[in-house]
Amino acid sequence: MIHLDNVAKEYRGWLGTARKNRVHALDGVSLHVPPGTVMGVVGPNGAGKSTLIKLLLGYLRPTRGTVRIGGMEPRAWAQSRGVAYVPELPTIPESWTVGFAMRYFASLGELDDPAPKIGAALKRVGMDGTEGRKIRELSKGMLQRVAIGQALLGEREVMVLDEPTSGLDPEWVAELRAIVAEWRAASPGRVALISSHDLNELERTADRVAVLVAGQVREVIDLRAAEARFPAYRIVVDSTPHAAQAVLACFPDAVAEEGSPLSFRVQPADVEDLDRRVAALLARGVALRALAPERETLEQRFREVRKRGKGRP
Amino acid sequence: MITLYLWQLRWRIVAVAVVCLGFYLIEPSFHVHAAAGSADYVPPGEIAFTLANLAAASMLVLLTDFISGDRRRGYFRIYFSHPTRPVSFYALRWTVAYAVTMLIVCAFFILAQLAAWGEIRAGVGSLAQPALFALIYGAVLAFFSVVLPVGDGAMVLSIYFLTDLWLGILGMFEEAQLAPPGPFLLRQAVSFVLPPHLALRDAYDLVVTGGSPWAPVSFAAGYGVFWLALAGLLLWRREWP
Repeated sequence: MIHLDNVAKEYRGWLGTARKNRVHALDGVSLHVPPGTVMGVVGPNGAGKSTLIKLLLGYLRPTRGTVRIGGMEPRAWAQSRGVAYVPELPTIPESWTVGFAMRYFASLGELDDPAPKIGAALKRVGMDGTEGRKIRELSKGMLQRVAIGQALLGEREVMVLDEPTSGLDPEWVAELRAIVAEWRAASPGRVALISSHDLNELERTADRVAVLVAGQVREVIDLRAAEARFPAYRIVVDSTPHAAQAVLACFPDAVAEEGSPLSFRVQPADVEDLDRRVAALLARGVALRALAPERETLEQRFREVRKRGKGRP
Repeated sequence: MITLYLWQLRWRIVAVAVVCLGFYLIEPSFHVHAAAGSADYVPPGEIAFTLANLAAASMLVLLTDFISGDRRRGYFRIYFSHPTRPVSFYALRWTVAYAVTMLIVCAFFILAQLAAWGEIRAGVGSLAQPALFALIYGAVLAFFSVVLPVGDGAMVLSIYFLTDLWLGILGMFEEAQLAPPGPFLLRQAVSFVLPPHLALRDAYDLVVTGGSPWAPVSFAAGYGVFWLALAGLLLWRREWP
């Protein structure tokens, strides 16, 4: 659905072709988001996330490489089908009322019979009854909800959310998760791309996450594959002589946790393998105090990728 | 969409109405009543020039910041995520502003004459100049609104006064029967680039003397269409960072 092939984007100053004045926002980014996927994009500030989103909306053109949505150039796609987009800082003229803004956006989307759609979108984001309120009177969270509401107006196939939880309280962060789930459930081919610093939230919403560092995709983490994989386990043994050696003998890949010599992280191949190794450990007279599955978080993966990437250009 | 644009423009339209009142008060022709019975006493051409200036002022009030403001404040981000083309979006806004301007000019044309003299003295031909002035200044404003991040209205206002000053200087030398300053080609180039006020006056003079005004009218219209087309082209090609 979304294809970025070897995309680079350079920012140049006014008539500035001097190399030292060029900023390489993206460099050789290739990314494929198949239909039905929610793709997260994470990365430190200045990694190129905003540039990536502007390229997807067709607001910028790549300096090199190609960007396609459904085989079309992004601007052509947005102009013909629209993109459900929530910007990082929703900017709507402050003198407008919520109702006027929604009518205006519905009109841009050339929606048939917009009134019920506007009502439904506002209701979904908990802003029904605020049609007469001026945009300038809204809190940051309410403005964010209006921005989410306008993104729900049309039946779009592509959704782009830029820091969508910014300004939302925990209740509405959870609600946004539900909104995205409903949106993608309405049509199986829908694609969403979410840029966020909120890794916990992204982990719950996205299927895959692209780690963007210094304008390059360092890794695409498949969260659903990680979920399907047999988990790592944390085992804690009683403090008996040679307990640690016994664990290492039964679980050669065991990693002792920092500051806790009797606590280990192990990665069995499957449940039978786990049973066999635990039985061997017990046979050596080691008492197990705890055995619990442990899932690697996106945050841990992200840190790992960043650590591996240190020193790379 | 047009209804929404008009609602969006409502305070600017009120401002144009205030400008109309100002034009009525400062235009001397409307206050000449000594020979109220004689239509010849008040030159209708003067009303046409007032209407032309009003049309330019109206376009300036209605359209200042109309593209640059959206870009500077980031409103475009949500606008153009919906299925709409930036060129069509702004072309429609420009057209609505032009239509509103001409409606206001027509209303002023009728009401001001009725208020001043109780009858319509100037013919419908007086509306040709405001139509061209609105096109010219609306087009120049559209161009600067595309290329400048801020100050498009101030730039167009400066161009208006610069044009008047330039023509005033040339006229002064002509009256004194002196050679105007600078090389001929440079003077021609400056006159060519600045809005064609003289072409509009030529058109009026030709109408009064019974000549065909099509050449100066075409030049003035062509000038406006050129800047409008250039604005459209740049808008179509530009990025929205």
